[in-house]
This record gives sequence, structure tokens and C-alpha cells, in this order.
Amino acid sequence: MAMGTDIKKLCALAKLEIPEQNIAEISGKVKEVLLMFDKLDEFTTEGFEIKSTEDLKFERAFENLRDDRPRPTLESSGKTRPKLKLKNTKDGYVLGPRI
Amino acid sequence: MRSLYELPAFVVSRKIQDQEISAEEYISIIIERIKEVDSKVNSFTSLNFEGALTMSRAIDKKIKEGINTGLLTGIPVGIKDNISVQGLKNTCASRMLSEYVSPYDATVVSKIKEQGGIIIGKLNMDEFGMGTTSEYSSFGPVRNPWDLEYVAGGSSGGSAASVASLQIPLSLGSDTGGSIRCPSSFCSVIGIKPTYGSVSRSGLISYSNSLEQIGPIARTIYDLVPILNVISGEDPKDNTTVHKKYDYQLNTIDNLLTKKYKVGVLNEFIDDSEIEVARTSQKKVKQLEDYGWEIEDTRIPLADYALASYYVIATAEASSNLSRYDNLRYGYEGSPEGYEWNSYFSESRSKFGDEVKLRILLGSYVLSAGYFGKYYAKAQTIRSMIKREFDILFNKYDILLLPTMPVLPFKLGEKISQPIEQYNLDVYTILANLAGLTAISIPAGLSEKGFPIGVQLIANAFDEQKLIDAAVMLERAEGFEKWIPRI
Repeated sequence: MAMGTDIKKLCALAKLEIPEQNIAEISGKVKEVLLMFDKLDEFTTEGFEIKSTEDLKFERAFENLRDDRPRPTLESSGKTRPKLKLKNTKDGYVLGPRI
Repeated sequence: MRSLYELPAFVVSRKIQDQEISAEEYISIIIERIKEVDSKVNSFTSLNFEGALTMSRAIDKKIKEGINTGLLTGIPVGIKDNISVQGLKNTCASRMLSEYVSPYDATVVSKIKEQGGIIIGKLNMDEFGMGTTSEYSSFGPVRNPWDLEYVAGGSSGGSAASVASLQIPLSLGSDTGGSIRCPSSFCSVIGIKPTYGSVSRSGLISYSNSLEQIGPIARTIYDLVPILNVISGEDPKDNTTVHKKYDYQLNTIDNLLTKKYKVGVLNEFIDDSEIEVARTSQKKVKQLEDYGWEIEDTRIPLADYALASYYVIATAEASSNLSRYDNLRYGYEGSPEGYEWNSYFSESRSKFGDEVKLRILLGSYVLSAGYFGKYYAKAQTIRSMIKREFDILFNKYDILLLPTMPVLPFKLGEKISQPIEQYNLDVYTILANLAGLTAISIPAGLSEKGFPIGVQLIANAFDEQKLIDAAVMLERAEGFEKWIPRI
């Protein structure tokens, strides 16, 4: 892993654009960190019984969950109004990029 | 005579409530102090001076009318730039969110305002909380007030440096793997990571949601406890919060001397630290022993796997949490017109910094189909076993003691291009995050060259009171609230 071509595949998977001149540097860093992650290979769970829910304590019964109350949408005005950046809209919908 | 900005928050708040001084007068002094100092420290990303003055006048009016103004009356609080404050930019120190203004308050911010606290500005940090030095910020690095050529620690570097440099008495940070405790240690302030589920994360921009927690930073435990009481509690907007009574007390020394807590000392960590850090940690152990508390050496056998487990989980969650930044719903100026969808998505995300990109790539890798079992599933198994080890330890001990950081603060730029060296610095702080426990960093001393050293105490989930009790004892032993950098 962490050769240039692999990094490009990973960038496509992660939807990230890395400039060509930085590929070698980022490959080196990814490789270095993955070596650190490989410490996990030394660990074996054999002989250990995993009881993931044993320690959970519920202070309230499940049937007593909170009542969800619908709230109106946040008022947006002045400084806090989210900006509309898209130029193209139709019938109140934003037109997406061409595919 | 000490200036008002040098006084602890609880003292000034009392003066404001007694009308010895006005909140507006105090805020004006704080604003002058920030203008004088922050150009050197770079701890703020945005300022809210006008808003703070308006709020202070409203508080003065309420006091004159005899209305109760709350536990934080008139006290300026700085907020890390990944916690939402309505009407202020919430950039996470990233170019990706450089224009984003939050339309609502995080729950912790609402609670601070309800108790008379005044939001003075947003604080610098590593981009999206990813870093140990606060150098990975689009606003430039935070500088350590004890020596401006040195790192302040991270990722809540602005939160710690602003408090240490007497710009503000209180701040909020967030702690994913030590991001409150590390800068608290490097800047000689006191910072607590509360138990996972005791403080609402609603309004915190998520980086690694199963690990992170909002917490306060102050110069003295007497300032830390009131704000911790204010922000703790169940929140319907964050269903990981736990329903319980949160009422932390500042006990008297006489009362604490009768408590006789049992302290487990993680000696392996002390021995692996730089010599001055080790020596100072041992001094703290001795102080607690002198108070009559029982001391015993102990260890965490699975600690060797903690760092890899932590970074697998954190990067996996980061790649998922940061996938929402497509620059359509929020972001910077830019138009997708003319782009194919995936190209626009990828290009718009090029504004992430290098460290954020690295962590997204790593997270995508460990979650990919062929490697899920090798990395992520195994990391989660180890995490649950580390939690079990802590359960066993806390059946025996009230508190565990270890250094906050294995090293002293180092020069800016010294480790910036070495991710593994930086990740290794988190090895003592990530344990509490993996297990969802509470932990505190307390100023422990200064090195020969005058750099701060912090000691870390970890307690079981929802046992913050034990950490507070220990902090009161240690503060009394050293008077660390009087250690102030010359800036």
C-alpha cells in the first residue's frame, strides 16, 4: 500500500483531490501511519471472551424514552441567514451539476 | 494592586454582583487586554467585542433590578472555534468553513449565556481538532505564552493560551484524544475532559463523535467548577447525554483530609517521560502521600495497543464525519456550475489542510472492505478491553495518576511534518477518551528553563468530584494559580 497509484485510488474513494506534486509526500506519511496501525496485528483476542453489553447500565427503561417534540425550523435572518450560493434554481429546487 | 484581569473569575463575578464594579467596566478591561496581548499569542480566530459589551450592559441592568444573573455573572468566556455560537463564524480553523456563520448556539453556549457568562470570541485550534500543537490552523499557529517560539499544545491551543496569558479567565475546548489536557499542560492551566455523556455535544462540529467531549479550561479549580456545573447535564438534543444529578462541590481542605482516596500511580508512563516531567510527577505523588492518601503502583497491560486503536477509530470517524463538507450546504464561495458531480465534490474539498486530508485518507483506508476486520473491528475490540481493564482498576483505586504529556513544550515547526512523532505524544491522554472516562490536567511545576509541566489524573466515569477534590489539594500544595507567564 501507499505507492502513488494506490494513493490515487484512495483519493478517489475519499473524494479528495491531492495535487500530483504532493502524492509522494502523502504516500510516505500514509505508509508511516499504517506501519503504526500494524501494531494491532500483534494482538490476538484468543482466550478473551468479549461481552460488549455487560457493562451497560440503563438508568431508564426503554419504554420510558423521551417524547420527541417537533420544533419549527430555525428562523434565519440577517447575519445568521445561510447564504444561497447557487445561481441556478428552478421551482424552489437547486439545480445540481451536470453529469 | 492586581488588575481586574488577573483576578480569578469567581472573585470578579462576586464584585459585579455586589456592584463594586460593573460588568461593562470589566469587559472593557478584558477587551483592552486582548488587544494588547493577542497579537503575540494568536489565540483568537474572531472577536465579539460589540456583542460582549451589549451583553454586559444587559447584565448590569438586571443586577440593578435585583434579578438573579447566575453562576457566571459578567464573566467573559472564549469558545473554541468548533463550538457553535449564533451569529459568529464557526470555522474550525479551516479554509473549508471560512465563511460559515452558525445560525444557532451549541447547548453549552446557551447554558453559559443563561448563567450570565459573556461570549467574548472564538478561539484558535488545529483544523477540525486534528493535531497536538495548534500549528495546523488556517489562522496560523497559537504561540505558547511562556515562550512565543514554542507550541501551545493542541488542539484547543487557543483555549489554553488565552487563559494562561490572562486575556480571559475561562474558555471552552473539546477533547478527542487529549485536546484539552495537552494545551493545559503546555500552558500551565487546569483543564478537564468530562465523562463522555455528561456534557452535551450538540453544536460541536464533530471530528470523532465517539471519543470527543466539550470541557472547560481555567487558571484555578475554583473557577473551573462553576462552569463545569453550568455546562454539565442531560440534553434532549444529544441523546448520548446521561440523566443524572451534576452538582460538583469545592470541598474544604479539612473535609478532604478525611477522604483518604486511594491513588494508583502509572509508573511505566512516568518512567518513559522526559526526566523533568518524571521528576515533577513523582513530586505530585509525594504531595498526595503527605496528605495521607494511599499510593500504589499499577499498570494498564493493554496500553501498548491503545495508540494504534485510537488512531484507527479517530480517523475512521473523521472520514465519515467530514464527508458532509461538499461546499453545497455550507462552505466558501464557489459554484458547481459546469462540473461533473464527483469532480466538484473532490475539488471543493481541496481546501482541507494537509493533516485533515491525511486523516480522511487513513480513515477511508481502514474502513474499506478488505481492511475493516484487520483495523477497525480489532481496534474496537481492544477499546472495549481497555475499558474493562479500567473497570478492574477503579474497583481498587479512586484515581489514577500519570503525566499529561511525556515531553515539555517544543519549538514551533519542530515536529510539524512528522505525523507519527506527534501521534506518539498523545499516548497518555487517549486512554481516557477510549474508555469514556473523565480526566484532568493540573499544573505540576515548571522546568529549569521555565516551561510548564502538567500532571494528569483519571477517574471512573462520572467521578469528576474525585478529580476536583485532588485538584483542590494539589492547588493548595503549590498555589499554581499564581504562576503567570511574562508576556
